[in-house]
Parts: sequence; C-alpha cells; structure tokens
Amino acid sequence: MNLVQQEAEAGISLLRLPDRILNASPLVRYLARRLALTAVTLVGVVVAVFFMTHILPGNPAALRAGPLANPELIAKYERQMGLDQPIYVQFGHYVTALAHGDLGKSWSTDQPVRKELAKRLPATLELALTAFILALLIGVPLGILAAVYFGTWLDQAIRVFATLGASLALFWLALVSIHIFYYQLHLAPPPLDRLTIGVKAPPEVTGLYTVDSLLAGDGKVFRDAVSHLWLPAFTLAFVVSAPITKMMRAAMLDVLNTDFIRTARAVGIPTYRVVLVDGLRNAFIPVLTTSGIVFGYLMAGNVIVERVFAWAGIGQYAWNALKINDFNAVQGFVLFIAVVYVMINLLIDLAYGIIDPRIRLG
Amino acid sequence: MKRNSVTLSCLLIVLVLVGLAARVPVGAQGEKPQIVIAYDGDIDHIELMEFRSEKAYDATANLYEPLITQKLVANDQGELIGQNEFEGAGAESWDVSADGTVFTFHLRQDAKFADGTPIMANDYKYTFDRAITGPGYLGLLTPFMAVSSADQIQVLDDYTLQITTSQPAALTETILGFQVFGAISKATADAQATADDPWAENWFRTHSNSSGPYVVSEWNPGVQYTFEPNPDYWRGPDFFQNSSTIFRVVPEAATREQLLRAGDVDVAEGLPFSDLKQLDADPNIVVHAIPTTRIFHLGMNNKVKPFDDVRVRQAVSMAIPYDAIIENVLYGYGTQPKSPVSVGMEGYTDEFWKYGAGDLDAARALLKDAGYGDGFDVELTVPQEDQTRVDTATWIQSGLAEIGIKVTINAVPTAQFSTLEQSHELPFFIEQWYSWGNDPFYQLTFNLKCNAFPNYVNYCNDQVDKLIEQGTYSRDPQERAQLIRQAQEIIVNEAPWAFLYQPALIVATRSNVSGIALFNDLTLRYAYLGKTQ
Repeated sequence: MNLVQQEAEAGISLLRLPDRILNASPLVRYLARRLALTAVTLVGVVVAVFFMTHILPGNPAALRAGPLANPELIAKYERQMGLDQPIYVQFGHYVTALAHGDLGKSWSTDQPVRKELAKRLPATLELALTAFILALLIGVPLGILAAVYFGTWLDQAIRVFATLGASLALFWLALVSIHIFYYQLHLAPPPLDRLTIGVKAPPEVTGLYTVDSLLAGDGKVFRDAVSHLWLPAFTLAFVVSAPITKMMRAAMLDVLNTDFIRTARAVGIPTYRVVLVDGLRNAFIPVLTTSGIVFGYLMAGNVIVERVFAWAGIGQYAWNALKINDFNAVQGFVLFIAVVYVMINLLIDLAYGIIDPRIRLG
Repeated sequence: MKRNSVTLSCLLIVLVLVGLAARVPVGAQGEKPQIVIAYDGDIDHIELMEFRSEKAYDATANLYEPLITQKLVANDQGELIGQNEFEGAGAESWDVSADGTVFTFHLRQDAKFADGTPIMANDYKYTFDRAITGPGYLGLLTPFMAVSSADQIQVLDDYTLQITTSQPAALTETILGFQVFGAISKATADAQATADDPWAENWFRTHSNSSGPYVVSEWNPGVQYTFEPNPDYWRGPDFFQNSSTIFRVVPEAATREQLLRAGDVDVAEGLPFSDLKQLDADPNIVVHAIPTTRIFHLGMNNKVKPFDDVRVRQAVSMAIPYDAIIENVLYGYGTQPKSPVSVGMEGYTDEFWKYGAGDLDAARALLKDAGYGDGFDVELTVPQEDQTRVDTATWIQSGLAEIGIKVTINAVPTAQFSTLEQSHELPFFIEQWYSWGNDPFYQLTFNLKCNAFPNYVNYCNDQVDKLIEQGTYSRDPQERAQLIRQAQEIIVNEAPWAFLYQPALIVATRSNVSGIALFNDLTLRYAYLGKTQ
C-alpha cells in the first residue's frame, strides 16, 4: 500500500493544504503533505522533550552552585537560568528562541548549544557515515549470498555472523577490538579521538577530516584521519551490518521465490543477472527501510563507541549533558536527532518511488 | 556478487595498511618532554570564581597565581605534597601584625601576566573584590579569614597590598593560598566587561590572561587542551620540567588503562580500584596511591525518624562492616576514619571511637532501648554514577540486616541525589566531603554546624557550634587542639554520620614520569611533571 493512502486512512485530513497545492501534480502534493507532517512531528518532539527534561528530578541551579552552595546562591542561579519562572513561561521563552534558531545555552559551559553541537557533529557524522557504508558493503553482499546459497554451509555461516553481530555487547566489542588491534597488534593508533596528538586538523570545509584533508591535498592528515577512523567504524559496522544482512537475505529469498524470477530463470537469463538486476532491485525496499533505521541509530546511538574511543561526538556530548541535567543541551541533541530521523524517513519515502515504479504517488 | 566480495576485501586491506602507515609517534619537542595526561573528565570552563567540573580545577590551578602557596615536601614515594606551611608566590614576602589581623604583602616586581603587563597590588585587590562582591561562591570562603567586605583589602602602593581581618583567623594563610584567589588582571577584565557582564565572566570562561605558570595554547572542548609554560612566569624557564602538558579527555577507564599500558599517555587519572594491583604489577607503570582527607560518610538525618534517636545512629555505626568495605570495595586503597575529622588532618583522634568492635548484641540492645527491637525498613540513597558508593551500600545493607534493619538501596542520578539531599529531608544516604582548607574546623563548619547548608543530616549541637567558632578564629595551635578534641568527643558519641572510608587519590603514571605534586586542592601542578627516556 502506498504511503499517501496510508496517511489518508490514518485520518490526516487535519492538514488542510491550500487549493493550489491540492490541484498540483501528485508528486508536489505528496511532498507538501510529507513536509507538513514533518513539521507536526517536530513540534511534537519539541513539546515532549522540553517537558520530559524539565520533569527530570534534579535542580541544575543547585549543581551549578556546587557543594559549598547556600540557598541564596542557588536562588541567584535559578533566576539567571530562568528556572524560577513557571514552566509554561520557560517553555514560551524556549520556543521563541527556537523560532530564531537559538537552542539556548548550556548551563555548565555557558556556550550556545548550537555552536557546541555543530562543533561535535562532524566527528559523529564521519564515524556514522563510514560505519554505514561499511555496514552496507558487508551486509548487502552477505545477505544476497545467504539467499542465493540458501540452506548451504555458507548460509549457515552468514547467519552465525549476523547473530553474533546482533548479540555482542557493543561496549565489550569496542574494548576487545582496541585490545587486539591497538594494544596487541599495533594495527590501530591510540584510541584518542580523530587525529594523532600534534597533527593539526585540515582547513574546515565539511568538518569531516578525511574529506577536508583530501580537499586540501594533505595526504599525511588523510592517512592519520583514516587510521583513527577505521577501527571504531568497523566495530560499529560489524554490529549494524547484522540487521542489514538479515533483511537482505529475507527480502532476497522472497523475491527469488516469485513467479517473475522463476520465469526469468526459465527463459535462460544468467543467474547473476537475475539476482543482481531483477532480484536486487525488488528486494531493496525493505533493506532501504532498515538502512534508514540503521543510519539513524548510528547518528544517535553510538555514544558507547564514542566513549570507548574517546571520540568527541554529539553522543558523548548528550550523555554528559544528561548526567548534569543540562536541559538545553539535551533538548538540542534530541531535537537534532529527531530532525535527522524525519529527514531520513522523507528521503526513504521519496526513494521508494524511484526504486519501485509500482509505488506511484497519488 | 563475486566482484562485491573482492571489492570488500580490497577495501579492508587498504584500510588496514593505511592504518599501519599512519602511526605517527608522539614526538618530544626540544630537550624537555611533553607530558600527556588522560583525564576522566572534561573542563567545562575556566572562570576562576564559579564552581566548575573537578578537572577544570586542574586547569585553573596552573593558570592563576595566588599571593602565597603551600610548601611542597617529598614523601617516601617521591610525591610532592603540600604542607600547612606557606611560601611567597605572587608576594615575595609578607608581614603579619602581632595580633594576627593585619597582613601586609610585598609583591614581586618581576611577576607578569601572560600579556606581559606587571602583576600589581591593584590586580590582587580587583581579584578579592570580585571574589567578595562578584559572581560565584567565593564569598562563602572569605569569612574563614574573617574578611567579608572589599574594604578590608587595601592597596598601599603599586606593589604592596594590605588585608585587615576583622578578628584573628586560623585559616587566613590557607585561604589566601587557594588557587581561586590567584591574580586576575584588572585591565583585562575591564576591557572584556560589558554592561550585562560587569565581571567579564563570559570571557574568562574560555580565556585567561594567566598569572600562573601555564597558558592555554589549545582549547578543544571534549578532546584536548594544551598547556604551555607562561614565558613571563616569575619562577623562570628552569622551573618547568616539561615543554608542554596535554590534557586529554578519555572518558572510558578501560581505554585510559590501555593507553597507559601502551605508553601513549604518561599519566592517567580515575582508574578503578579493582584494576590497580594488576596495573601496579606492570614494571612500566607506577600507581601513586596518595592518602587524602576526602571522607565518605553514611549520613543519618537527625531530624527524621528513626535516626532522630541517638541510640539508633549508634547501633547503625556498630553494625557496619568497615573492614570489609575497605578490603572489597576499595581493594585496600583507603583507610577508615574514626571521627568526623579526617585521618591526616590536624587534631584527628580515634580515642572516642567505640563502634568498631563488631558487637552486634550491643547494637541490638541499643535498638531495643530505642523502641526498634524488631528493626525497621529504610531506604539508603546513593548516586548511581559512583560505583564505589553503590558497592558500599550493599555491604551496609548486609551489615544492618544482622541487627534487623532492612535496607533498600536507592541509586539515583547524581543530579537528583544533590536535589534530594539539599531538601534536608533525605533520611539515609552516603555522601562525601573534601575540605580544601584541609582543616578540622573548616570541615565541621560546612558539615555539622547547625543550619549550615551542606549539613544535610541536620545535626545541631550548640556546644559543638561554639567549639567550631572558637577554633576557626583562634591562631593558637594548642587551644585549637583542645577545642577539636572536645568537638570530636561529642560528635563521635552523637554519631550523626557513620564514618565509612577515605579513599586514596589514584594517579597512575609510566614509571619514567616524575613530579606528582599536590596541594590541598588535589589538582596536579603540571610544572613539576617530567620524564626520563
């Protein structure tokens, strides 16, 4: 069933779109509706996150005042931080600032959250993207192999691999990989963030050191950045390639059992062509959905790998902020991740239409 | 699909090879080595007068020069430990009036801020004004030197500063030696101040015009900070045992350990007690376990039933398996205090302690007298991020079960823990305290004086208050010794706390690293850190 129908059935007629858009082409209508829905989702996230963080027990003004605090000092900080006002007033201030693109300040550093997130985002993005590409490079071929050689030892081996990836604790895996590849084999540099001490970051274009160093033509920094990147990226990729492998295998098995594949085989089209062209194209939709979830997870959920590899990304930032009830920092992170998820979903929905001509819109 | 696997293998091999090629050795610059420290926390800001993260105090300790400083003496392990004796720092010398209330400081004329401007009496005056009337919490410390008004600090001339205390105070020198009273440049502050921010806090949160030994040459939050010797520092270049010190944020203990074992960092902080014996067995590593006066205690709220009854508190104190906690939770890296004054602090005595015999019958009898013959149920609150306290709670749980007290452990996030105890209604919790003043009266003032805000157990005894007051404002060591003895006798008997443990401060280094130097604030003073090849 296509998504527009799904939404219509879910009763989203609340979103009254202007006639000009309603009369436009199906694609424009679809896009407009998706974007409007996205906006509603984000408003929901803003409200939920604000109130969830603010009902967390623990007064940040008291933490800020420190162990020698007295009530006057705490009250002073409460005033400064606006915590003495009713929560709806605080919410009003937050939303007003947000409308201007202002995520507020972190109370512990007194720096704008947007600036702090932006500084740490490239680290997370570079790691997530690399791990994502590696996971696809591992998971897709393994899934196809398992499906094609269904029931053989190869299939069994791949299933064991996927089960391992899904069940190993990431924390343990990260520690073990550091122990083996850094401490024992010296194949990886010290797990200390993204560059060796003393190596200067390349001039910032994207913030991704691998890309920026290539743009600057600096091979030394590129090698250094890659050397720091590969181990945490493989650690993450190993874990997240498991769902991709499983989904690829299942989808491929479904497709390989359909009539059109049987027909294609019967008329003598070579197996690799049947599998890679007709099969893959048709099996890719569920894999795409899984990939979207995986990428979202990599952006939001790799705090463990960031911690173990001393990788200063947004996951660690959010973790530290959560520990000290740094409201604005936590809210900023959650909001950002919500935007990432929503955008991924939007892109996936659009990609459906391109990959699968059956999904025609409107 | 074959092609896919081949591509994958190639990519793997290339990545591994590239990784190999890029192992760049950490090089030393010039003759002096560079020291890399793996810290278990980050610097949130370096505004001297605002409360900050524990590790941020390490940074500011190396950036600001107080008037005077503790004398360092090497102990048996070669660690340099700050004494309760002082020597000139920003001040070359100082005079104290006979009655101990007028302090005249003669500043060094060759001391400069990092921007090259001289450090003058005006700057120290500004620093104290800022502490007393400006932002932050330092106004709570100056009363220990009987200073509560900026008028008590006077500039006599460019290089002479006079501090007049309202009465003689034991801790005047100690407080003046705190890093947080290090010189701030008035000119810099004035230049950076705005109408909304008259004390230039915003600027000082991420910048400094250093009066101390180091300057920050790299500021990379969450990752790394580089401290380089301040070329204008009055002690001169020979004072520094390293060419620079790198503060590296490494959040995971297991990672810090591996880095230290591999020799990629020189110093690591915040390692778990459970791993230390094994680490210490490594010939390339030295585990410095430095006794400190940080005291962990079981707080029993004196105003909440059943702990409002002194017999209940005494019974609890008797039933705690102290030795088992030191052995199993601290792995021996600590000691058990037998008084609210920490072991190692002036005036500490264990002579009034009567709870350690493990006499459970006596404990049961006390409970029975108090009307709790059948025991009672109670919730023990601990901050969940502190594994040591969580583990200790389970030992307390099993100890108290022996006398019929059924303990439920409630581990809560640290932020919530602070708020709960600040309500002064939490009945039963494990808290810790470290006195920068390293002084018994300072410690008791904050923790056990009636109505002191951090007195989360609501202990109140007017006689004890008088003793604390007298001791705080006496400069006679003999009188103070007598006063603190009396105070301990009363408090140990009334048992507002059960005194649990004092963990050692753990600093693990490569064995070629020397110069672990600690003042009362327990921060590392980078200039002393050196290493041989």
